[in-house]
This record gives sequence, structure tokens and C-alpha cells, in this order.
Amino acid sequence: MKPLRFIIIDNDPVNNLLCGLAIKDAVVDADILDFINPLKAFEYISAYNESNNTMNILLLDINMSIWSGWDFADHFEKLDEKIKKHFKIYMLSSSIDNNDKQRAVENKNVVDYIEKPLTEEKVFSLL
Amino acid sequence: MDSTSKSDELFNVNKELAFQKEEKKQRAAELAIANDELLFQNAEKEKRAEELVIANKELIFQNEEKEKRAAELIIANKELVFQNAEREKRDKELVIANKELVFQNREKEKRAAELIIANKELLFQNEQKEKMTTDLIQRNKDLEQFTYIISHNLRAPVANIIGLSFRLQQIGLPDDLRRQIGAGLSTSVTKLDEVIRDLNDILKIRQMVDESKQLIKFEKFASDIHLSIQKMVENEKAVILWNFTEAEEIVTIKSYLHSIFFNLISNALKYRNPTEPPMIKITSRKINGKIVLLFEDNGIGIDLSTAGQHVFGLYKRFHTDRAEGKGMGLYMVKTQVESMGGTISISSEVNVGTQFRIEFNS
Repeated sequence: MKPLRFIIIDNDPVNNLLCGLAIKDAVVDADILDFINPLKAFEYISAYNESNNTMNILLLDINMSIWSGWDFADHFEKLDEKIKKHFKIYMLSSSIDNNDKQRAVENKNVVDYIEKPLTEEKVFSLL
Repeated sequence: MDSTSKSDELFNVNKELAFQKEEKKQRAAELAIANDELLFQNAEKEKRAEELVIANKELIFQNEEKEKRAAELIIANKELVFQNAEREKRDKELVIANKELVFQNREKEKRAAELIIANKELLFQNEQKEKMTTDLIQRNKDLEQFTYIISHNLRAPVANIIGLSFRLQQIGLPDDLRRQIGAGLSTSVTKLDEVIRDLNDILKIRQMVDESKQLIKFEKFASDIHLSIQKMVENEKAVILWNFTEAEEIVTIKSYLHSIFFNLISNALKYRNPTEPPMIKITSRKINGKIVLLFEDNGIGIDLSTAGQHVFGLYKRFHTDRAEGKGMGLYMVKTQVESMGGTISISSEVNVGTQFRIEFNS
């Protein structure tokens, strides 16, 4: 099985703490990286080593300063396919608005929509 | 009687006869003359008669001509009489037609006047509809904004609280993690309270539009505000200049204008350039009859190519490494400007400064 890494992008540190706990409930020795600033996360992804064998699960918040999750997805779209194939983006949002869910499903760079808070069961569904 | 007497008598008779004869001869000569005269006169008369015959013929001819002419004149006259009658008939018809046209004209004028009124009414209704549409669009945007606030800003701390309280129930939680969860709960609850208070403030703006408008003199208004934030200005060693000569006053909602001035000034101080004292210039303009307010600063500016449309968004922040803002100020300013029927726009250059332009509808 390919090595797995979870990347959390959210400007809310409390959420990132909870995400870390939920992921570790599901995958005890999970590799987790979190970003408070979406621009920093994008820098990281843009400079990603194409030969890396890891599959990255991206948990992307929608409501952030500077860039929203949608802005992030739009910028991700422009990246090289060789980089993009290493990442699976999930929108992780507090939103209970169906429009947000619909928009996530319709975005071809987004795999699915997950409603906060992240739980062990929800992490399992990603594996 | 004697013979002598007889001879004498004879002689006398003879003499008388000779005399008579002479007389007769004379008379004959006279008669001949008279006869010649008569002949001449007769010839003259005949000539005259002939002339008269000719003249008569001429007259007859002229008479005939005159009769012919008279007949023609009669015909022409009849024709004229007929034409006259026709004309009179026509005139009468024209008078009627004219009356009809005058009536129709009046009707048309009445109709035109009615149409002008109807047109004005339609224009008014159109304006009302446009106003209503603009209002509805604004309300719709507001509703969308509230849906967004509820789904994200209000729901986010709630989702955190759900997650954290679930964790708290776990048995054998390390003390360190328990403390982290406690801190997280506190942060989330505070955030929740903050969003509820912000929502309250925002809703209040919408409700307060009814506050009566009043005449505000910019000069006095600005110096009052300057006085109220004197400490803040002095701490930052800032200079605030204003010039309201082009438009000296405005009729508007005072509390909104106060909030706009206060937010834009404190914004300029918050995002000041650390290497030079803040300089804020406030000027009023009159452009196409509309009052325009300009707020210029020499602050750190903002990169609008990335921030762009979000600058005035609620809870949007662009200098997260700096200052304590929570992304309410410009949102409030925009909401207040729009509530007063105005528009606000921004232009900015990183490390040079920012300019806000507010246009009020007159």
C-alpha cells in the first residue's frame, strides 16, 4: 500500500487539533501536516516532488482569509497533472448549506464534501 | 263798252297770260330743279337704303351673334349657377368636415394630455420598480450573506464545540490534551459569542435606516471626530488633514457617517507603514452633482489582485500577521454606505497607500 499523508488546510487551530485527533483515532501512526495559511499550503504543493510515492489526502476548509477553499481549488486546477495526481482534495467545512455541498461535488478537483467536525468514522470513509 | 277798253282789256289779258306763261316757265324750271333735286335725293335715299340694307344685314348678323352669345352665356350662366351650388354644397361639407377635424383635434389633444400623464405615471412606476429591484437585489445579497455567516462563521465554532465535547467524554484523556481541549472550548465559545454580537450589530444597521437624516457640516464633523480619537492619533504620531471646500455639507444619517469616518481612519492607522508617520487626507468633491468623499493614506496598502472583491467582505482579513482586526470594519462601512444609497470603492498600491472613494447619491 502507498504511504498516506493527511494535509489539513484551515485557519482555525481548534479545528486542526480536532482533525489531528480524529485522524489518529482511525490511523494511529498517521502522517499529518497542517497549514493555517492556504498560501503556504499552496507553496508546499506547487513545489511537490513528482517522484514521491505518497498519496496525500487534503482536508480543505472553505471559509478562510486571503484565499477561500474555492480559490485554493481554482489555483490547484492550474497545477501540472504530474503534481495533482498525488493529491485528493476533500472540502472540510462547518457549512450545513446544501449549496456548498453541491458546489464541492461539482468541482472536478474536489473528491467529496465532509461536514465538520471530522470524526473517526468520517476518516475511515476516506481510506 | 268801248273798243279801246276792249283792247286794253285784251292786252291786259294777254299780258296776264304772258306773265302766267312766264310764271309757268319759271315754275317748270323750278320744278325741273326740284325734280333733279328729288332725283338726287332719291338716288341718295336709294344709296342710303342700300347702306341700310347692308347695315341691317350686319345688325341681323350681329343680332344673331348676340343671340348665339346670349345662349352661350345662358349655358355658361347655368353652368356657373350649378358650379356655385356645388361649391356651396362643398363649402357646407367643408364646414362640417372642419368642425369634425376641430373636434378630432381636441380629442387628440385630450388624448395626448392623457398619454403624457399616463407616460409620467409609467416612468414613475418604472423608477419605483427599479428602486424595488435594486432593494430586492440588495436584500437578496444580504440574505445570502446571512446564510453564509450562519453556515460558516456561526456553525464553525459550534462544530468545534461538538468535536471537543465529544473528546472530553473519552476516558483516560492525558492531562495535556484535556487542557488543550478546554482551551479550544473556551476559544470556540468566545468566537460563537463574538459572531452573535457581530450579527446583532449588522442587523442593527439594517434597522436603523429609519433614523432621520440631518445636515452635517464636514469641517465641524471631522474636527469633532479628530478630537474624540486624539489619543490614538498622537500615539501613532499621525497627521490627519482635511479639505471640504468643494462640498461643505451633506444631509445624511449622522451615526453612519461617524462610523464610516471612524472605521476608515482607524483602518489607516492600523495598516500604517511602520517606517513613516501615518498621513491621512480626507477631501470632499462634487462630481456630477454627487458628493464624493475621498480617504487617502500612506499605509502599507493592499494587493487588490489577490484581495480584490473580498476587501469589503465580512470576516475577510488580509494582513493576518498584523493588527488585531477581525474583518468587520470595512464590511460595516460598506453596509452603512449602501444603506444610505451610496457606493464605496477602493484603489491601493502595496507600500504606497490606499484610497477609499465614497459616492453619495444626491
